[in-house]
Amino acid sequence: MKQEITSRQFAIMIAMSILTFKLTYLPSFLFDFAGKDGFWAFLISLFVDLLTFFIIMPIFLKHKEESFSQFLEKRIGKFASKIVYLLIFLFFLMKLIYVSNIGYFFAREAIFQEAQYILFLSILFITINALFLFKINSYARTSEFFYLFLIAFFFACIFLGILTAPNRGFFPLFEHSASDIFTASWKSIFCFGDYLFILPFMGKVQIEKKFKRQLVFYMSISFILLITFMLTFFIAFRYTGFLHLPAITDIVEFVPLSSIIENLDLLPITLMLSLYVFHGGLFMFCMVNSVKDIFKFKHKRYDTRWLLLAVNLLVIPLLLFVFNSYDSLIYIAQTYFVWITAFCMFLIPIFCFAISFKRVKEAQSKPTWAVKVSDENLKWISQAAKFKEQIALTKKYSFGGQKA
Amino acid sequence: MKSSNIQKLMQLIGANPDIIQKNIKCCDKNITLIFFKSMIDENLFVSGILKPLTEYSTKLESQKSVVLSLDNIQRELLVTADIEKLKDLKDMKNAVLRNKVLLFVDGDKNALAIDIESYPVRLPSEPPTSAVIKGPREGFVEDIKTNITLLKRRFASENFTYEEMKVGKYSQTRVAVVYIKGITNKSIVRSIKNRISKIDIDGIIDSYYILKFLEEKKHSIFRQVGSSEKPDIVSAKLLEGRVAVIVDNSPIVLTLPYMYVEDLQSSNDYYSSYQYSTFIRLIRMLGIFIAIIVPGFYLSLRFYHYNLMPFKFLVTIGNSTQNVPMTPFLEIIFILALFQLLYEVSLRLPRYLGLATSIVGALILGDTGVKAGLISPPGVLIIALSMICIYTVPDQSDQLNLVRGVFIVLGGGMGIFGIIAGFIFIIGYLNSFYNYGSPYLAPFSPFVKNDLQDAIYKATIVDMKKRPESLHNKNKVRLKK
Repeated sequence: MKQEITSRQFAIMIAMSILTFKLTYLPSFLFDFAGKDGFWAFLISLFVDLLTFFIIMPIFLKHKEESFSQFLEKRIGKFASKIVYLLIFLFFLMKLIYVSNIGYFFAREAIFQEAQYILFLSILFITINALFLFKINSYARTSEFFYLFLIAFFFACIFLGILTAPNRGFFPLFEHSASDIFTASWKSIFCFGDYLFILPFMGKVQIEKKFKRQLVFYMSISFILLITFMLTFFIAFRYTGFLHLPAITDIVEFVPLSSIIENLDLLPITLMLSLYVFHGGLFMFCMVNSVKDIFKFKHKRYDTRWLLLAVNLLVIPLLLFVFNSYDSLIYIAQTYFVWITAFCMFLIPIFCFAISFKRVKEAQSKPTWAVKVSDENLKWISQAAKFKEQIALTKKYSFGGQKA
Repeated sequence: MKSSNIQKLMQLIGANPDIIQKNIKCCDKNITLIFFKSMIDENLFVSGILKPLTEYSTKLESQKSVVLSLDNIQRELLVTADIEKLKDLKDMKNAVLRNKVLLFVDGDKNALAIDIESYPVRLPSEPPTSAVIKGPREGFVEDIKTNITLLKRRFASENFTYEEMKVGKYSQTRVAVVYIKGITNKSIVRSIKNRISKIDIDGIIDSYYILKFLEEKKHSIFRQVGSSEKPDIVSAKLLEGRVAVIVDNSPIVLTLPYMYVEDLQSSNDYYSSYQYSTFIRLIRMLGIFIAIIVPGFYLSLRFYHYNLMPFKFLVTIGNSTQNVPMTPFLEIIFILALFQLLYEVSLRLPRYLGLATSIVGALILGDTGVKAGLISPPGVLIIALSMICIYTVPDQSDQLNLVRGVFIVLGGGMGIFGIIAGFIFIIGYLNSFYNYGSPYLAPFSPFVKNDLQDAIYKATIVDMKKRPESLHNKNKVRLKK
């Protein structure tokens, strides 16, 4: 397995994925159901989402040298694996539809009243397809390149929001019932499930010593900024939160100091549009790889580019003819997407966690390095094995290492 | 045997009015000299070859026992540094074509090739493309020997290595691959030599002919090979672990592997304070950003996002553009085309006419265009700003020009979203580049902490203890405690 992404890049990808869905429409959805107590609903969802991370990460780390397809097929066989790929495909299809649509509505609402839907989708899909074709390490590096700018922009937006907030009150809290809070949390769960993409990246990341530290560092930044942002939103828009659909843009737009610092809408707009493009690219990667794993084409003719085209041919008509209005999208999101998200974001990680303990016979009888080393090395290894160094050599020439 | 060799050689070389076959009688033996008249140093020919041969002839006549042979001549007579004994007819032909003097002695089928080549060579002077305020002012010239000398005098070490190759079926151009053994990664040198040796072309006129063969992505608009006219810059790159490719007849020396960050660096940075260098690099970054983004961004504001503009700005721009008959997009394209035309004309016109063109361009066309209401002052300002900013990184001007065009179309067609998507696309594309194993956008992505010391932030030479990690050098330590 070729490990193309560094620990830092992967940590950044996770940190960025936490942000995308939560900065625009989520706060107003939460407000719709639970008023200011939507903040608690947000914290509950965030916590539940984080639980799935703690289920996925041990699998990811334990089987760092296996790809997701190898991991599944060794344990549950080819047919059952295909069902899992299909579920993952559906999950990311739904996410891509949501991100594309919401991206357009955000752009139209925030800056771009004349935006043409087709033109927007063309630009978005050209970019995310290009990111896919440039290969995943290029995508990871591009995320790394933009991360600092985007976090700086986000920080600036929150800072401006905090300037707005102190004039208004956040208390009293718990004006709504627990049922309202849980309903808000449930109805907006399609904005979560951000960690499922980690599974398709199994075996593609160089797990360095600093990996856990980096993960904690970048995720903490995202969490701190996100919670501050939510708090700021609910404080700043006490009773009118449901009106502020593009939340992050409105936070900046309603800064009372705008006469001094002029118009800074560009910060949240750049931040959000970039995040939508990055997230679209990530989902496209997960979808195409799922299709690849479902069909397992051996012929070169069914190259990844053709699969990419096939996925585009499926997604674009859906976006053009089915999910083309804001109301229908939100209705479908809060009814069907909620179930799909909940099903996939909990079931797949738990299922993978359960099967990860299953012993794999094949792996014991046939060491993984044996298929990867060259004939010359194999000869040398077999000679060395006579001197009872087999265990050490197995580690040295395991296919995660560079020397094989 | 000898005479037949000379005849064959003359047949191989063919009829050429410049070629001379001179016979001298020395100790009852005929000595034949073959050379191109215009390509040798005549003084050296007389004082270093003809005169010693005549004197030797007189001396030998008194000592009858000594036999005149090529070995004797090479050992005792000629003091020219570069003399080579040739046995093969093909080598003899190549030696004559490489402007050496061939010396035959009666009865010997071999020949001596004496290098007294001479041709007009420009003296090393400050290159016009990289003028400096501080630091060395010498630049490379068109002669490969001089260029290697300029580098060699900076390295009194056996590790300074150069390997010469000949490229071009007809031109047989000398190409030198220069590197420092023990620092440079051997696989990079091997790969470069391999690519050069595979070039099968009629002729190499300049180093830019070689450049295209050394690029990893042949059709990319982004430059993938570094180039410099200054020996101090090339020496610094060699010390970092890069390889230099010197081509005869070209003052431009190529350096590999190339990374984008190199264009942010200038030789001035290394002779100024590190704080100032860092500041200037930030300005260069800003220059690149303004050059490529601002015209497209201006269009996106004018077309779609006027609400993002501060109110006073909006009023000013509204007032100055209300009478322009063209759409903002056409106006910007028109001004850009005008500037580009003026630039092309000023490059090609003789200097004394260039000034007149500037006056016509700037004063008459620009000013009259604005006064006539055909173009607006903000449009002219934006394009002028962009044109100036492109030259903060002169080596990138070609590709920045093209990228700016893309952003104008994206900004005009899809507003800010187009610009953001375009920017992500370009960075993604550049991130897919590997230049001889080095990532193109390192040290920014992938993030290489050590290499940031000479990226935007410029550390002092005392703090730069390691060579760039992105180059995968053999020897990583640059400065020991």
